[in-house]
Amino acid sequence: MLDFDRFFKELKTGMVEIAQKEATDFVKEATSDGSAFLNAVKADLQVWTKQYAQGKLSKDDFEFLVKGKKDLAKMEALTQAGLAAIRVDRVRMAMIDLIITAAGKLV
Amino acid sequence: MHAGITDWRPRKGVTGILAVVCLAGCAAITGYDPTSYKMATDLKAEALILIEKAQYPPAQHAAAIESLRIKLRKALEYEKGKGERNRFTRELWEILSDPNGSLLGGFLKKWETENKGQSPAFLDGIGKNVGEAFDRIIELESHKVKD
Repeated sequence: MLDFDRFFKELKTGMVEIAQKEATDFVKEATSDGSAFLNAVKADLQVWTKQYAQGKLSKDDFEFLVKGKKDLAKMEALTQAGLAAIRVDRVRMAMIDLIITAAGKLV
Repeated sequence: MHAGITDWRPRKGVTGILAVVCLAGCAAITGYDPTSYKMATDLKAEALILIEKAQYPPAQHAAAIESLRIKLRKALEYEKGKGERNRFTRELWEILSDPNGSLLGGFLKKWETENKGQSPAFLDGIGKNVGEAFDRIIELESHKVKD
């Protein structure tokens, strides 16, 4: 007789494990990427402010570069959102494997 | 007694099958595309080389500027063609190539509008910003799920 209760119990446990692992990894990586981005922005702004003060950068050029960082911040946010979507797809595929494996044990 | 209440096991089985079908057909984002990856890496190199040349007035590089603009547009149209599931990559290209923005599209417009060579400090800065912008596109593409 098919043991559906065991099937669904195994599925539930497996899905929670997969989702927890992917979520933990993602938060870790997103936090690290975010910090790296902010540090890079800070370093560049320090250099450009100095160059502006020294007359190596015009006001227009300085503003253009700073606005570029604003555009890059939008791109960073989009990249992180895209990476999150990729994680969702990985979870989805892992769950398909899990369902197929668990179903295989039923028959 | 109703069959729907007592005979719940087959219904669970059907639910499982439906879950697999739904999971299989509901990808959140497009998969890895080697053409997209190559376009981004090729254009990054081309853009950075052109930026280095911007210490001179744009007239002598007019053909290269126009060629880069066309390639940027082609890349954007290619990514647009993949539909809504590719929205993150499409939006990245839009920001990078926006002539009213402050990355590659904006830089090309600024160079032509000012019609003069750009300062070394500015070219260092814009090269860095544009390089990072391409890196975001390349990073996202390279992490996408490969078939």
